[in-house]
Amino acid sequence: MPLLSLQNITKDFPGVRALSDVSLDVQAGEVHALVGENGAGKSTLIKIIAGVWTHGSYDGRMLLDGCEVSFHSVRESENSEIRIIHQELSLVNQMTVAENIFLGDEPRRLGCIDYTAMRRGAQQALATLHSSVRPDQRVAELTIGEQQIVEIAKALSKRARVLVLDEPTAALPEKDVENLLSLIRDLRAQGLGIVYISHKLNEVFDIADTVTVLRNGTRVSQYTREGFDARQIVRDMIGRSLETVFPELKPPQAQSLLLLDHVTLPHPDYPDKDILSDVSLSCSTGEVVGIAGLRGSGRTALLSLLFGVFKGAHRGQVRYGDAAYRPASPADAIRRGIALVTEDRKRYGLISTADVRENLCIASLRQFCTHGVIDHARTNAGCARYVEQLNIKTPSIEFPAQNLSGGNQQKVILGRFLMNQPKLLLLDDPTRGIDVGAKYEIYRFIHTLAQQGMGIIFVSSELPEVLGVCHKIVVLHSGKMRTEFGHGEKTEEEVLALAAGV
Amino acid sequence: MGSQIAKLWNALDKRVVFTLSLIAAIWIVFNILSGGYILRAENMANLFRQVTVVAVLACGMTLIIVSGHIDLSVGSALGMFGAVCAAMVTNLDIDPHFSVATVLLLGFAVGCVHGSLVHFFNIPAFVVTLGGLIAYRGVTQYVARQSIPIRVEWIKAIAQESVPHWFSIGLMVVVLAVLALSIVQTRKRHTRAQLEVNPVWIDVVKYLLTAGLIIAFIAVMLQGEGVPVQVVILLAVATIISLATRLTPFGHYVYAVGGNRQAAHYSGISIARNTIGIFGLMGFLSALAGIITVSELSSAAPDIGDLKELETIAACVIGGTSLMGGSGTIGMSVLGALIMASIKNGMSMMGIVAQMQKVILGSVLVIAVALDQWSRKARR
Repeated sequence: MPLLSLQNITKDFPGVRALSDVSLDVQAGEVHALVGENGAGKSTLIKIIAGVWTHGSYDGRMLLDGCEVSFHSVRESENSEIRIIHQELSLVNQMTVAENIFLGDEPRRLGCIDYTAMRRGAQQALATLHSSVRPDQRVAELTIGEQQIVEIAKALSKRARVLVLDEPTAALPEKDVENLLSLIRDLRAQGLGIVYISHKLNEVFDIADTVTVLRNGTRVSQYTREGFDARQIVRDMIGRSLETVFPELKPPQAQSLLLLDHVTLPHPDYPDKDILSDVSLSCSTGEVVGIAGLRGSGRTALLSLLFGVFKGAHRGQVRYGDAAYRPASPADAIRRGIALVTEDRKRYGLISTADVRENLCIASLRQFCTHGVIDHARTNAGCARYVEQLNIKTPSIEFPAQNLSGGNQQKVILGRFLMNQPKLLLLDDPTRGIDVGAKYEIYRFIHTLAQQGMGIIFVSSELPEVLGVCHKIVVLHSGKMRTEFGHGEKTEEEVLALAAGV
Repeated sequence: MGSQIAKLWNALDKRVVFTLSLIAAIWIVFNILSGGYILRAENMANLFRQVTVVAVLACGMTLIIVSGHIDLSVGSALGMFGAVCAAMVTNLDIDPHFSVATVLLLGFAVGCVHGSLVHFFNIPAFVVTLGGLIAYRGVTQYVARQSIPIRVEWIKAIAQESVPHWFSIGLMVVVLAVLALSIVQTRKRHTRAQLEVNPVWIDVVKYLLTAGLIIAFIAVMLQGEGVPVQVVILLAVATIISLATRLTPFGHYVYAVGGNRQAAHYSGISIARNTIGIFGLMGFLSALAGIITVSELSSAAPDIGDLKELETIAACVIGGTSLMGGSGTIGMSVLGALIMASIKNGMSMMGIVAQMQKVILGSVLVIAVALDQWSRKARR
């Protein structure tokens, strides 16, 4: 008998059917992966399991241990020992690890919080996860990987039978991913039923016992471990075949655009520590330069330096075009034709209160002005053009940008900077957390731009895409350049070893 | 026919329509309760006089709140600038034109200082302007420790006189013509850029509705003494700032900075210039409100402008400005001020005591925001 069984679930939103007749069984001691593009219905399904969409707001049945359950609130789902770990971490940064683990369910003595019991409980929870995090550390001091562990400890501090992880590795550096996966294997061995959602198929193949593919709210296919076939699953996810995942590369032009000559970037707070040391790098017009490196390797600092947001001075020379280059602010960098698509879309990119049009043209309003007054006919036409070119799926340019899917939000931000017609485009992990189809469109777009003569620096956490998209790849580890090589000259394993500092 | 009404309904700004209907309802209810007094021409002129100071301040405050800040100093600043203006004109016998211009400039400068403290020293606007609230009240009480009379006729005229009828009618004709022209121009440009435009009849109906409101307003005012000078000033201020938010990069940046400061910075927007600019504007408007207030009273007293900062914030909030930043419009804030003034005016007409009025106004504020939140949720 399956531990958790969803039968013929159908969920409608006004105007859209989010899930249509989806059935799913999760066994105890199984990792069941749920894959699909954004908007395929994965989140809706989880919200039904979590009791966010309450019983009665959907059709179909949910069974736990063979008994039908009907959740009328998140609390009821929790009482049934179902634990959800959402994509966005929900920890209070100012509080300690122990306080976070027991938030809302603090052990009490005489009506007051029993800190001793709390610390002991947290210690135990962390120990079972083999974590070195201390209960009295503040969450703000932890790395994202450690915070993820705390989140799991929090979920498991109460008895759990079903654990749902929604894209737990989206924000994790490579080495923490491995920790997390082995932790999940442990939990599986303890008999938990685990639902695992991820865009990263290699992880899914690594850990899952069963894979269910969703597309447009329907269950397309299901595979067990023996039957995993990457190409077939990708085909199922996007509903068409990706003949070549990466578009063909055209050779770059010869004209030099950007040159970093032995650049060293001291840490603004610890002068004896270098964020980047002795990095040399060049990018010509029409060239796509990939930077492979883990989070914390200095890759984001390198882009910050080029975009004028790095606080502190650097040594060594940076030349852009045929002059020395030292931007004072993003405004300065943008004026000189440099654009940066940032890593954290929500924090540095999207203006969530504004619509698609406003988000697209906010960085280039001046070019739509006559005598200081914005010509809205021109902004509208300009935005409409980019919506079409980038294939942004939005009902209209007046649609609230935060209601778009992640991939389309990213395309809006890309469009924002392309409207300035930059000469050098800096992309910091632009495909993070977006679906396969949108990724492919972004790769293709990068190549179109390169052919038009734009220089592109492409930073990514995902090695296959750096290796597939770029003319030239630089590997960074702890601020040092490990190697530089051309397209197709090294395999994924070799690069991974270099990036991990082995 | 039914589908055409639905189309028209979709093309209208529902919040504005709703708020205007609400104001109409308030007037009608109070008109019945007060025995037909509130809708008389002279009371209407009075009502618009009463709304001016708060509405002028609300124009600046909207931008401040949209950009994610707050300004608590405007009431005290109003008092200080009013008192300084009165002292310059009366006690020091300085040329009135020069005095008024100096006070307005001083207002702008003080506002810029607020903005700089907020931006460069990283002090929350709440703290900077709370300091201002206390300090400027002190200045006001010192400068106007004895009430300073205003004897300059043209300064008194700002709040006490009306503009000539020919001027109101001329202005109305110009506004109606400009409005029509801008609609035609927009249609032309959008067609040229191959963008969708409303069907002609929808634009015509929208224009007629707007024109109808403007004509009705002027007609009512002309039945009495005409449009008060200060109301003309308010309309000019609100129109200019409202257009600036829609038509200039500066205005758009206010919304971008309030919506996501980091994203705005990474988009090449100068946050410093923006912050200092809006606080400068707020200071300028506080000075303007101060001059209108002393003009109204023909004198400067130690307590002028007391609590106006809270009335102003309330007007913005009733108009739907989000205290989280990023959204809110000038027009709606002015209507928010008009709602508050209408209720106050109606209650006075009914003879409700001042103490009770405060209780009711406070409740209205909270209920208005509750309704707004509820309607947002319902729309989602």
